Amino acid sequence: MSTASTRGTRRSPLARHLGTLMFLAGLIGALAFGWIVFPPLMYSSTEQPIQFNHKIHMGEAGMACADCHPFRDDGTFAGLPTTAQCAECHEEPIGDSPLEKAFIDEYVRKGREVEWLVYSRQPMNAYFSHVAHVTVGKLTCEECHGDHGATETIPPYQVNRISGYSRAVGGAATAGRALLPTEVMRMDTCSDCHEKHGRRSPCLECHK
Amino acid sequence: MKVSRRDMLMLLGGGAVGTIFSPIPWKLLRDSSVWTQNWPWIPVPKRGAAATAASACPLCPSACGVRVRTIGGRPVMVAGLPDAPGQRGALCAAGSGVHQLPWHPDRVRTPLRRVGGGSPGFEPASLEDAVGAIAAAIRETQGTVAILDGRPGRVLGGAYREFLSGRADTCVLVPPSAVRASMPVLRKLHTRDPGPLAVDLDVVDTIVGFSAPLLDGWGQPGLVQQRMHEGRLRLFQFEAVQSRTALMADRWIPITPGTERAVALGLARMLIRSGRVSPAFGYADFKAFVAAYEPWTPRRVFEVAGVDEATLTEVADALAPTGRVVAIGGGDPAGGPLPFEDEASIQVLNLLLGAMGQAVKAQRPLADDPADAASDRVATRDLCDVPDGSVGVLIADLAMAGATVPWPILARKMAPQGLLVSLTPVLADLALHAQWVIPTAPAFTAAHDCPGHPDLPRSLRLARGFTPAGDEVVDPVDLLNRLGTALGIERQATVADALDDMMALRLRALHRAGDGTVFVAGKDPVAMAEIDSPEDVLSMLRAGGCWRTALAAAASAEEPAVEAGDDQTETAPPRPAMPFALEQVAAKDSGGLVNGFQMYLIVGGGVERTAGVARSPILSKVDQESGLRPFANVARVNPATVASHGLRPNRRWRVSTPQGAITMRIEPDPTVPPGAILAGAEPQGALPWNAGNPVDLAAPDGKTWRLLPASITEA
Repeated sequence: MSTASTRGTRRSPLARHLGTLMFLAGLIGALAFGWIVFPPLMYSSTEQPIQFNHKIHMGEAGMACADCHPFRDDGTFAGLPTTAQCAECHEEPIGDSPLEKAFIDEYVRKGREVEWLVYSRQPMNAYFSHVAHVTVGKLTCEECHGDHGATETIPPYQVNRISGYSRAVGGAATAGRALLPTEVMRMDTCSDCHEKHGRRSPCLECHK
Repeated sequence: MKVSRRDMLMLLGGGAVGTIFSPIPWKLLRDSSVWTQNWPWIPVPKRGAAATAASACPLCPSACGVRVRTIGGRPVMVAGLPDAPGQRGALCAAGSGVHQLPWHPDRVRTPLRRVGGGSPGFEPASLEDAVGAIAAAIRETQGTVAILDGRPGRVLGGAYREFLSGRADTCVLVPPSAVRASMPVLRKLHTRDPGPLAVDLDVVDTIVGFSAPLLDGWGQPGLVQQRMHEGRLRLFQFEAVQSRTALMADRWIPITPGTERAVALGLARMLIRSGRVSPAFGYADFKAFVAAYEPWTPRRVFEVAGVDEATLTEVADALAPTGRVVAIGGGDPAGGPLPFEDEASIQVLNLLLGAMGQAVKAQRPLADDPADAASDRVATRDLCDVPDGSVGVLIADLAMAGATVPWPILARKMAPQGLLVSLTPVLADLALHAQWVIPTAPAFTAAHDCPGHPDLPRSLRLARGFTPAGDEVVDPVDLLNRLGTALGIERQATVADALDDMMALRLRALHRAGDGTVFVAGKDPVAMAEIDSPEDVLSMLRAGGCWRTALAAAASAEEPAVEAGDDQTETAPPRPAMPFALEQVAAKDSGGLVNGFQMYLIVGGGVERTAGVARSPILSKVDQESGLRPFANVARVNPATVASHGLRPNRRWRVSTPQGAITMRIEPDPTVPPGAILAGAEPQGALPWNAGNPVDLAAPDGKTWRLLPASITEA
C-alpha cells in the first residue's frame, strides 16, 4: 500500500512519458540523420577541371545546345565539344575573366582536352541513343537535362561511394523521385517517360 | 530524473523505426546490389570512338550476318544484320554474346599438357614441346591419324587434308551433325551422285519438319519466320516436345519420342496409296517399293508414334507433289542429329513429292577451291562410322562446329594409348579430355571464313578480327606447318601457309568461277561475274557481305535414279539402296524401350549450352531467367507423369540411363510428352556453371544422343 502511494507521488509527468519521448527522439533523430545527413555521405564530390557558364553562352552569345553538342554527319551524337571547337571562338580571351584566361592558357594553347567528368554518362550495362530520342523522338534537351543550359556554374561531380555510379544516373532513388535537379537520367526516369509516351521499353532495349 | 533501461530501449526502438522510414537501409541495399554487378575483375571496355561494322557470326554453320558496335575498335554489342539474305535481322542468343567470348573465364592462353593420374589437370607448356610430342605420337602410332573438322567447308579443311595426305592411314572426321543433315542424306539416296544439294527456300511453300529446329537454330530461321509471317510458307512440325519451332508452327503434331521414322514412313505410304507421287520419282522397282511401305498403316503409325489417322491424313492431303514441298529432319545442335535411317526415311518424302529440281536443287561445285584440297587423297568420314579403338592420334577442332560431340562417342573411337589434341580457345568440353590443348583464336579476334549450312545454298561470309588475338594464340595452319617439318612431310602446295592467304586463294577461285551473287547490306546485290577482281570480292565480304551460289532454275539434269538393284561401280561410293533399313525400323519400333528403362530422356539445347562451343555466361543467365531453355539438372516432366509416378517436385530424383545417372530436381512441364524427361545438355568445365555432366550423352548404339532410355527413382 505504501509502495504504490510512493510511486504515485514521486514520478513527474515528464518521467511518466519519458519512454514515449525517448522513442520519439530516436525516431526523429534517425529520420533526420537518414534524410538529411546520410545522403551526402554516400557521395564523394570532385570539382570539374574548370568552371563553365552555360548561361552566358546560351543567353548573351545566343548559342543553342547543338552548337557545342552536335550530331555528327553520320547521325551519331558527338557529346562534349573538343578544345579545338572551343578555340574557334576562344583562341584569345573574350573579356577579362580569370577563369577564361586559365582555360586558354592551360588547354587551348597547350592543345589539351578538358577531362570533363560527365554527369549523365550511363554505366556500361546501359545503352542510350541520343539519335533515337532527339532526332526521332523529338525530345528537347531540357526534358532530360533540366535547366543545365541556364546554369552559371557547373556543380561538382558526385559519385556513389558503393556503386561507383554518377549521382545524376544513380540518383538517390529513395522515395521514388530524384532529390537533386541533376538526378535526371535514372532508369525510373526513362521508364516513366517511355510509359508516358506509350513507348515499349523491353529490358534489352537499353541493357544490350 | 533517472533514465531507465526501458527508456533506452525505447530510444533505440524509435531509432530503428526511424531508420526503416529513412533512405539508409534501402539506399545501402540498392547501391550494394549495383556494386555486386560491377566486380573489380569484370573487364570494362575502354572508352573510345563509337563505330558500327558488319561481320559474320562464326559460332555455327548458320553464319548469320551481324552488326557489331565497337567502342575504340572493341566489340561491345552484336545484333542481327537487317538486310542479310536468308536471315533478315534474326540472331540467336548465343550470337548476341559472341563478342564476349574472348573474355571467357576458361580462355586458354598457352599450350597445355595433361599431367597427373588420379586427379588429372593441365600444366603450361611450350608450343615446341607440343609439336614434338604430337609429332612423336604420329610417328609411333599404329592407328589412324585423324583430324576432327567440326566445321567442314572452311579453307582450313583443305589444309587439314593436305597435311594428312602425306601419310598413310589417315582421314578427316566430321561430326554427325554435318553428315546427317537433311541434304547430305538425300544426296546419298541416289545411285548416281547428284552433287551437293540445297533447299531453295525462295520457292518452298510448305515445310514438313521432323523435330528440326527450323525457327530456332537451323540454317535460316529468320527467313522461315518471315515467309511464314507473310503467309507464303506453311510449317507442319512433327516433334515430341513443344519446342519454340513447334510453338510457332502452323501445326504442331506431337509424336512419341524417337518415332520420326514411323511418321515419315506412314506419310509416304499415304502418298503412294493416294497416287500423289511425283512423276519424277524414278524408283525402278516401284512394286517392291510399295510393298516395303505397305506395313506402315495409319493404325501402326498411331501405335508407334501416337499420331491418329485423321491428323496424318490431314497433313498428307496438304502435301501435293508440286515440287514446292520439302521435308527436313536435321536435329538439335546440342541434342544431336537423327539416326541415319530416320533422316533417310524423311528424305524419301522429298523424292516422292518431286522436290528434286524445285524445292531442292543441285549446286555447282567450285573448281580449285582450297577448301577441297586433297579431297581425292584423304577420306572424309562420319565420326560415328570409324571402328572403335582405331584412332591413334586425333586433332580435334570443334571451336566453330556449332554442334555437340559427346566425349563418350569420341572416347570409344580412340585407341587405348591414343593421343587427343584439342585446338580450342576455351578449356571446356572435349578439351578437358585431351592430352594436349592448343590455344586458338576466339571469335572476333582473327578473320575466319564462315561457310553456310549444309542444307542451304552454298554461301560464304567472313568473320572479322576486331581485336588482336595475342601472341599466345596458335594459327592451326602454323601448327600443321610445324608438325609437317617435324615429320618431314612435303607440302603439296595446293594451299597456302597461312589462313589469310588461303582465304585469298578461295576468293580467287570464287571470282574465277563467276558463280552466284554478293549481297552487301544497304546495297543492290552484285553478280559475281560483274565484280572486277578478287580483291573487290574480299572488300565486299569484309564489309559484311555474303556470297551465295546461284541455284539451277530448272530441274536437275541428273534426276534421282534410285534403284534397289542398281550396280555400283567400283569407284563410286556405295549408296544405300531403297527401301533401306526398313527391317531395322520395324525391329526397333516394335521393341520399345530397352533394359527396363521405361522413360525417355530427351536432351536438347539447355541453359548452359546450346551447341558445342563455349557460351557467354551472361546469356545463360538470360535463358535461365526467361525459362526458355531447360537446365541440365532439372528434369522437366509432364504433370500427368509427375502424378502417375508420384514424383514430388520438392525432392531430389535420380535419373538413370544405361550409361550413368544424374540427380535432378523435377519440374512439371505440360509441353513435355508423358513418359519423357526433358533436360538441357550441359558442358563440361571447371567453373560452377559447368559442373560436369555425369550422364553419358550417348545412346547405346554410339551414334545418337538426343534420346536416351531412362528411369527415375528417388535419390
